[in-house]
Amino acid sequence: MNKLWVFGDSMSCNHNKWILDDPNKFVWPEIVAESLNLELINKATIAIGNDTIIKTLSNNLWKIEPSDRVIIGLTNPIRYKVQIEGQNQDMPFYLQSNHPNKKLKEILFNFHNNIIVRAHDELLKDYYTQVINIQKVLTKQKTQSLIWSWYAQVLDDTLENYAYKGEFNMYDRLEDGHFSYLGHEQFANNILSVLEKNIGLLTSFTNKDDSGLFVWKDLKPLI
Amino acid sequence: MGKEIINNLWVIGDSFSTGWGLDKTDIQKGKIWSSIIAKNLKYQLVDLAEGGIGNEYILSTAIDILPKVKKDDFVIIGLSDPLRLDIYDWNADIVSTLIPGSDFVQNGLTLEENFSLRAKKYIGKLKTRKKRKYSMFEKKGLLGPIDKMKSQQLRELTLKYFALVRAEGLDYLEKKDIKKAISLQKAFKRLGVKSFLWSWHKYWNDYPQHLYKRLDDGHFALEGHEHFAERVLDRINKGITYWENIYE
Repeated sequence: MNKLWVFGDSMSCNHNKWILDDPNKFVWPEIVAESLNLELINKATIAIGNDTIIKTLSNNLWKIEPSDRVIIGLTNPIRYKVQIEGQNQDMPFYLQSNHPNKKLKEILFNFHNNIIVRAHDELLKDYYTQVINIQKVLTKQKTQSLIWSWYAQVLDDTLENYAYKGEFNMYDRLEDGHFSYLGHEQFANNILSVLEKNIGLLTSFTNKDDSGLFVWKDLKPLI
Repeated sequence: MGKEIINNLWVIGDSFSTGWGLDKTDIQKGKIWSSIIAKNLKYQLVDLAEGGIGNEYILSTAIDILPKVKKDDFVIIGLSDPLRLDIYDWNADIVSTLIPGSDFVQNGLTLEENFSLRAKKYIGKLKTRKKRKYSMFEKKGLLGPIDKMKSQQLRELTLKYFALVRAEGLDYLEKKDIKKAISLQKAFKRLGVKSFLWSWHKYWNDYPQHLYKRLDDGHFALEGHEHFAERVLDRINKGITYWENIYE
């Protein structure tokens, strides 16, 4: 049986298992896999950054067969993995934890806000370059793939209200901004329609306005 | 009579894969290990190695070439110190790599020259090569550095992160990089491309004096290049794809 490989963050899995726990309802990767009669291999993990998404994709690339399909959901580029006292931690979420080592958290806070956040545009561009190169390999071996990003849709909005503005409202959501069951179904239908049209990339990050900010004009196809 | 097809040998790595510290004429004459191997195995050398880069950049270069390689090409990936970290300096609009023990780690200084090629890839334009040193995060005005205090603070907090957070994850980073490199080797294999993976860093502390004659800074001397090429060829001919300990 051919496979549907899904790579991404919480937007590509069931982030709210304690709310979305109806055995008769499904999240979008399950709906898409079922509709296309594919076995679902969902590698999406909550809170991870593009560094981990691309690492997971790279580590699994050799397993992907030509007749499989691949959906890669990129996330906010200022997320990244760090090791703290032997444990993997996801930045910037780790800053909200109750870790007892206040000094370590202060170092991470300062580095994140003064260095990583300021590198946002470069990181975004670099992650897209990497994932598009991987997509070229998939295309070379005739595997259909799709790159999308929930993050791209809300770049112009503030963090506080991002989930409630613009195109993001096309999908029904829970209070934390993740898809409800209805939202998963709506998104799955759009994904299926995009796959049918053989669209491979749903964002544009190449245009900049006069002030040097990225312009997200070409986002309409999906969300 | 058909035209002879020459396949490529793609070499990705850091200064250990360049002729770092050697006379340029020796490099041009093909005396470094990558050229020796290419000649021996009858490949056209595509040398993508750059001094000062880290594994993040090395492995992203491997991803870059995945769509470009052709069946029967060969790829050699030389991993570096996993602690090396790419940092974007928005004042200078340059991506640079923090290297343990380097001038930056010691003094906040680094050679601008090293960034020119990397800036091209990341930023899309080639910086003018300059041999002077520049201070990270320091923006220069007509009368000297602008907001010197702020630049100093940025360097200090970067170094704190580097020394107290990143350095603690060395084993994790090394395993992660090797796993990713081996997975990419498998992806190359699926494209009909052979590959070879090695690392100068992993067993660096075991470096015996008799292996690979070295320069004062630890890089291969000319004889070291020759010796390393000979030993790599031996492994390649035995079908080894990952040489874990080059000092064995």
